[in-house]
Amino acid sequence: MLKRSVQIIVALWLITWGVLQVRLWIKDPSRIEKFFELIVSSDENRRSMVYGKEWHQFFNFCKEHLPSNSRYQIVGIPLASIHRARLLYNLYPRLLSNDPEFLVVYKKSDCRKSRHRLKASLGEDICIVDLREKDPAK
Amino acid sequence: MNFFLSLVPIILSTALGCSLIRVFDSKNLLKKAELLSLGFVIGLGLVTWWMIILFHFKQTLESSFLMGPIVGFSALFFVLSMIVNKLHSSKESIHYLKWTLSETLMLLGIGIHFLVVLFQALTKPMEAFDAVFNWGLKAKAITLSQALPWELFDNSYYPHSNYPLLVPLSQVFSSSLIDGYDEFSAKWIFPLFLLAMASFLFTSFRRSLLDRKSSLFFVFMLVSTPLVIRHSFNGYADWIFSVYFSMSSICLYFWVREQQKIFFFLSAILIGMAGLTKDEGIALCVLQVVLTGFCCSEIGYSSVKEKLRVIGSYFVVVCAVLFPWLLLKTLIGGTTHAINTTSFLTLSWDRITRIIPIAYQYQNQVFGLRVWNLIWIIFLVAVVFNFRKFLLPELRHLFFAILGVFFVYTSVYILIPDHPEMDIAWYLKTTASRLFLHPVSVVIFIIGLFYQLEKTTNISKENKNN
Repeated sequence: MLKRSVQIIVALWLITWGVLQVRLWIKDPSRIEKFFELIVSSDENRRSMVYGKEWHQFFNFCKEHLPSNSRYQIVGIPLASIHRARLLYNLYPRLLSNDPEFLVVYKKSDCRKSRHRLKASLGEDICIVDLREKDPAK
Repeated sequence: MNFFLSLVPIILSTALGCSLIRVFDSKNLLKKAELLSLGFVIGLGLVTWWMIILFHFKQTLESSFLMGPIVGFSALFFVLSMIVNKLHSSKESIHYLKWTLSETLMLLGIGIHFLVVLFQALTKPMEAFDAVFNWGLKAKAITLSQALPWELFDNSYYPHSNYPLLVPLSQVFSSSLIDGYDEFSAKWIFPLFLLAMASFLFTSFRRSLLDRKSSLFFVFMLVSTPLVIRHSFNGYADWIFSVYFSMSSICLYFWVREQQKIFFFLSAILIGMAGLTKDEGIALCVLQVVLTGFCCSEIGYSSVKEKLRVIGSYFVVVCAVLFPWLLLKTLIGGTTHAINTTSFLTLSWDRITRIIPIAYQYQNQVFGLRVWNLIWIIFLVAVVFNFRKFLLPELRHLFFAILGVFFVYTSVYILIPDHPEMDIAWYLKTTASRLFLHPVSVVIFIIGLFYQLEKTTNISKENKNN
């Protein structure tokens, strides 16, 4: 009885394990290719592959234009979003704050509306606004 | 280059852990694989403990304060262990049996799973939610400032300021020879915890006289479980917490079985370190102290005085590990939003009825096709059809440990106050899977022991019949 139960469990385990591995292949045939690509890529490419190209570009844009140790606020990324958490992590030691020096705008029309100086922009609706300086033209 | 440089501090902390354990293992009871896996996890815990002490004395984590004492104490413990072990020398006898095809295949399977986890850990940046929002962020902040990041703790946009620091500090320590913070090599510790648990589980099965093939299969079960694989590289604290709790429970089991003090103290140190890893660890420390009291009767301590002495010793070791962190936690301030005084004050019948969604989520975690928690199905079937056997002295302590974990976590789900944004459904959805991760190695160990028990009973029955 015990021998039989153990045989069933081992067989069940190995079959399920095998099915799962095959399923992963069928679901995403490029999986193995991506895995090896991750191994040989540079750190920046790895970030781009994991975060997604667009988000990675956005994170780098923010890192480039926000001074180190500055305070910022975000508009356009939902509070519980994983991308927001990744942005906070990537931007540290710059801190999200109630008393911000900069406003990070992601895909919102605030870039054009703002009365403050536009520090940098990435396309039409992604930008960083310098809240310390008013835009003399507006 | 950073990959190799971040391994050096880990090797150093493992040496510290191993030499400390050897000082107390005067009878040479631990096998080399056990010593290494325990040395690795205890070494990192000790380093964390020391870093917390440094924070108390307002010291930064510069190499001289951090590396100096660690190298010094490693050398001291090593010399002491040499002296102690010379006094009680006993040679480890190794019998090399030929590996069968099935054993080789299982070893290969374990190796492949470990390599996949290793590459996933070292080639992916911090990306999972808690890794970037909590553990990894703190590791980055502490590495860059070499001190406690008060600017994060005092900022309400960054929650969990008073969460335990073992995981971030272990990453900080492994980055101590690198310039700045390298999020890729900081993840070395995660797959190494998988390796440590796998080798500890294997040697524990062998210590329990289980044959090599079965031991390897049970280890294969552990490393091929999707939940375990995912948590061994995602940068969360749950797998590390699971390793500390499981090793502590298994050591307590060996203390009851072999009645050697080394296992008693290892169990106490390890559960204390679980408390340095996650808040749930404090509750599990209480659970282990209660189980120690229960084990006293198993061992044969009859007088109340003796029992109190044993429980007291366990409690003192746990407190010694936890105390610096608990003190620092009060200095950091903040409340845990899940469990606090209001949780108890506002407890009502409505919250008791949460048991229905909780039970639903539990069964979902066990039987849900997507999660593939086959280990739990095997465990449930074994318990349902052999309930009395799980209450035998050989198994009951571990069985109660697993039940205890469920009791603790279910109580927490009932106690959590109602919150407009984070209701119980949200908590269950985001955390229930981790409940099934934390005791998973203990569950595999008890299944292995149950199998061994059944096998022995069958053999003795056959012998009687003949």
